[in-house]
Amino acid sequence: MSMSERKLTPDLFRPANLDSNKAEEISKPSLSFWQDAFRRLKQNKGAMLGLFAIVFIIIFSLIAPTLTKYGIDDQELMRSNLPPKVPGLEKIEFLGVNGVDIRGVNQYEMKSVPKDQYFWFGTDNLGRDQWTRVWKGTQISLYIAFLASAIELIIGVAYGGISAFYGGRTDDVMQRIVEILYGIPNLVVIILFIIILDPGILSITLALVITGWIGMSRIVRAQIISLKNREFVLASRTLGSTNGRLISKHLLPNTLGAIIVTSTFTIPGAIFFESFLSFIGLGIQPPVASLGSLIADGFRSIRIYPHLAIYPASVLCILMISFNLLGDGLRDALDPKMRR
Amino acid sequence: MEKLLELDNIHVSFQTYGGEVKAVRGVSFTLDKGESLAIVGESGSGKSVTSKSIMRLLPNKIGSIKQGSIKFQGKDLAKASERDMEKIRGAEISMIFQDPMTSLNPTMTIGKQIMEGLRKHQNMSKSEAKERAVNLLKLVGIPNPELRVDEYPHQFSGGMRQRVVIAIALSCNPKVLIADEPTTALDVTIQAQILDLMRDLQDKTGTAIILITHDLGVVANLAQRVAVMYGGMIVETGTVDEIFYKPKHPYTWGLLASMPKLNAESKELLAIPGTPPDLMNPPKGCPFAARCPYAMEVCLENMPEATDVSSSHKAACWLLDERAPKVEPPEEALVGGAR
Amino acid sequence: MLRYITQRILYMLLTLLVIATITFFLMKLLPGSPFNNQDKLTETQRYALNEKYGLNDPVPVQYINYITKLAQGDLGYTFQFDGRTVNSLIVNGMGPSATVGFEALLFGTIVGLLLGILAALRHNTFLDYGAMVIAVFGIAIPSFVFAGLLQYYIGVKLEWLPVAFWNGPEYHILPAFSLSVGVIATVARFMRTEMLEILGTDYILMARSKGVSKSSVIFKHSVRNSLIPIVTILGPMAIGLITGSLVIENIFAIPGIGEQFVKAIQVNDYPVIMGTTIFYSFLIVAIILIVDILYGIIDPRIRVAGGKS
Ligand SMILES: Nc1ncnc2c1ncn2[C@@H]1O[C@H](COP(=O)(O)OP(=O)(O)OP(=O)(O)O)[C@@H](O)[C@H]1O
Ligand code: SF4
Ligand SMILES: [Mg+2]
Repeated sequence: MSMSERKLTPDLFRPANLDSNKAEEISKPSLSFWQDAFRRLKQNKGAMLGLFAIVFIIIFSLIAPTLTKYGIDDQELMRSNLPPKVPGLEKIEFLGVNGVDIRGVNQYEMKSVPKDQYFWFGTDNLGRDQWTRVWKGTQISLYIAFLASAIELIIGVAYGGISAFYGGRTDDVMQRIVEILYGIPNLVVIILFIIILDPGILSITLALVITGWIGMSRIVRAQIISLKNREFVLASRTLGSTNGRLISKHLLPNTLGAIIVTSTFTIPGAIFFESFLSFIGLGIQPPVASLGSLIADGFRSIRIYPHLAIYPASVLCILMISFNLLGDGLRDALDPKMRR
Repeated sequence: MEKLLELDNIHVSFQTYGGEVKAVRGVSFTLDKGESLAIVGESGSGKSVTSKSIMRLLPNKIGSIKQGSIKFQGKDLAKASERDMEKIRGAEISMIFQDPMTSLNPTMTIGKQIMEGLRKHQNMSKSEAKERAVNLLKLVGIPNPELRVDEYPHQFSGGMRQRVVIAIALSCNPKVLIADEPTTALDVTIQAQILDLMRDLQDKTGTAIILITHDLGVVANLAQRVAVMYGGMIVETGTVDEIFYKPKHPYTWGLLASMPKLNAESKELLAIPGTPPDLMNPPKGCPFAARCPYAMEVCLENMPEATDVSSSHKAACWLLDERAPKVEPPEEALVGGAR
Repeated sequence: MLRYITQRILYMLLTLLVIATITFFLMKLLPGSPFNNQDKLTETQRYALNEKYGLNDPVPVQYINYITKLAQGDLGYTFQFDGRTVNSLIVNGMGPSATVGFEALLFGTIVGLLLGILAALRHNTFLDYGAMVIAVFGIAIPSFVFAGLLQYYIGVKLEWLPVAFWNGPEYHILPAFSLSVGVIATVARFMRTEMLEILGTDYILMARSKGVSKSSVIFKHSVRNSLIPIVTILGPMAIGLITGSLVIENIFAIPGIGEQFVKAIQVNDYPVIMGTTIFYSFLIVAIILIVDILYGIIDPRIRVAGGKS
């Protein structure tokens, strides 16, 4: 104390000129909600990993089938049930991609497949290239999932939005209907619809949508009802905003976070149900394949040809985990209150 | 004479993602037996953190006492083991929290929550503890205590719950009661009732009270001494009269000026402009410098030391240095001026 | 409370009626008859069969008959085996299905609770991260993928446990475990969030300020209060278990309801499809109702609020 005391000269006891912006400097610049959310998302390693994996799988599923010369339904019984064989990697034995099956027989030699023919994921019982089928199947699974989620989003937002926005009797009637539909287990409805419509890409998508939109509509309705009573919406209303403006400028942007989060979770849900249907025999029918149908077929012969199930199952698991990680990250970033 | 509680140069930090938050930076004060001390200061000044450090209830792993000692009857609580603390909490020092709506366990009856401390500290049997719980409820003015011991918190109003919390806090006759803004969450009329109750109980039990508040009106009602906190430090301490009628620190002036005066013509509240300092990078000099209308060059770089004004009155401000220009407190800060 | 329960039961019956009606008419929309596959049948034999199952009546009559019988709990006859009722098929399948489901639920809940509590108590440590990685995997990966992998690695390759069928306790382990993975993950995650929230509340601080011991704070206050809302996820979890059982029973060849249902789908056995659908719906709707009532009973806040209204 005494040391610092000595250094203090009387001229220090003059009013300091504090420019007023110095006080401002201290407080951090406030980021907009979306910038802030994006920053939080970027900090979440799991979510970024998930996003990266999803983008990678989407792009790869489009490119990969063109990397081989085999089509999705090119059958050739002479080369059936070949284990995977990858040029270069075939020399590294423990990777198990050298064309030798689980009994230690080199199937490529036994079936006298030409030396320059490689099947990276092996072939199935009809001699179709599994690599092409897995990535085409990924395309189909993703296509169904995205299509179903998009339709669910449109119906759910419209229904929930109308119900909440108009309120009163409209809301009453619409919510009674939802209450009854919500009680019906979606598993049951989906199975019944597929039985009627015959399995196919469109019918599976429709079956998923039929119950799927309800969840979205409930979330949108809850959000809009709580927003409707908030000051800024009331203020905008008293200032004479049209309904359209109110919806597009205030209600939708503030509901967007919840909508995005919900959608991110409906996609893996749809992928799951599609593969589930394939498993019980109601999925995509041959020659088209989806991840689910490939896994189901693969499990049937998993004891002898494990490669048929392992590859599509791995892609499916990576996709499911990635979407869940991304969804968790988005939820934390967009709506910290929704954390669950 | 030995003090009941003596805080010496306490420093508390929180490890957060953004860095180390130095929430309390060198707080010292003492508390005598049966005395009541008020700690005032605006939000974020470190009042709750100080009181939680005394109870050693800082969030695990994130918050820790970096430096200093907390002597309670000669024992240093800052270094006490968790087991020793369990014996002290509730029995010797107890605490009332700000929001009675959230400080009771919603799934446990009021009676069980009162009995918990009694059974632990006083080895009472179930029936003895229950009887005492009923008596305590009667003491804090809850009608039909025999019936209400078996009810759940949500069946009580806010004011009633705070009475229950007070009953819990006083159940084992503690020597110190820390009340962290006990009335902030309540209606004005209920606030007065609760304060009356606390004063009443203090007269009966002789418990020393540390009252944390940012309402100076409450201070005048209940406390004998006042400590004014700002930016994690105590900037001024003194008796109630000294702080109200002879305040020395510009921040105290600001606080007094912002206090609503019942007899004043203008009911307008004077807020102190600006924001509290960033506790991650606290200023080197006086924490109040950025907002102080009297700030001098010296304030920016040098920390003012606590200077004795009288034997019971201290303030940490460069204005008390003889080299500084003489400054008089502004009109609005003069409580006595109205008389 | 009583009025609330009555109202809920009425809603439940209405939902079931809607489901039964939809199921019935959807089945009627299906092209072809179940006997089409059997080419050997002569015209008269087919007529006799249709007569026997009431398929020659006009549709509205069939509908009335169906609903009347349903109200009495009669789900009709299966087409697959002569003279056997759907009820008897369901009763037969019930044993294995309920056993696997219950074992998975019990094991999953216990492990999930432990994992969730530990993760919350060791928040932001290696254990916490580990538990959450397990949870994400368990939620994301479908149970049938687990089932297939376990069957291959533990059943086929290592030969530690039977690959399939239902002949004794050791046959339960793989299917019950595959089914429980989702339960573990859901419960662990829910419990962790709930515990963390409660550990941060004022009343936990208040309990600690009373000098209550650490274990008392954890068990009497935190765990107890976190367990209450766990009841709310029992409904969705039961649905997940039923969905999972359809494929798990198929993979492990367990003679349960799920396996019969899948078989019925593959051979167009309408009465079994309809009956099982309605049975599942009943089960799910009833579980959700029971869970809601249970929640009202164990949470004092709702208990009293419900009692007053
Ligand atoms: N768990 C925590 N983690 C990080 N920082 C914390 C934590 N608890 C408190 N702080 C910081 O410590 C500082 C002081 O907080 P404290 O709660 O003591 O203020 P207070 O004076 O009690 O204010 P109030 O009047 O609002 O209760 C604040 O700046 C706060 O950001
Ligand atoms: S030390 Fe300087 S800046 Fe701080 S209160 Fe006193 S005069 Fe103001
Ligand atoms: Mg506080």
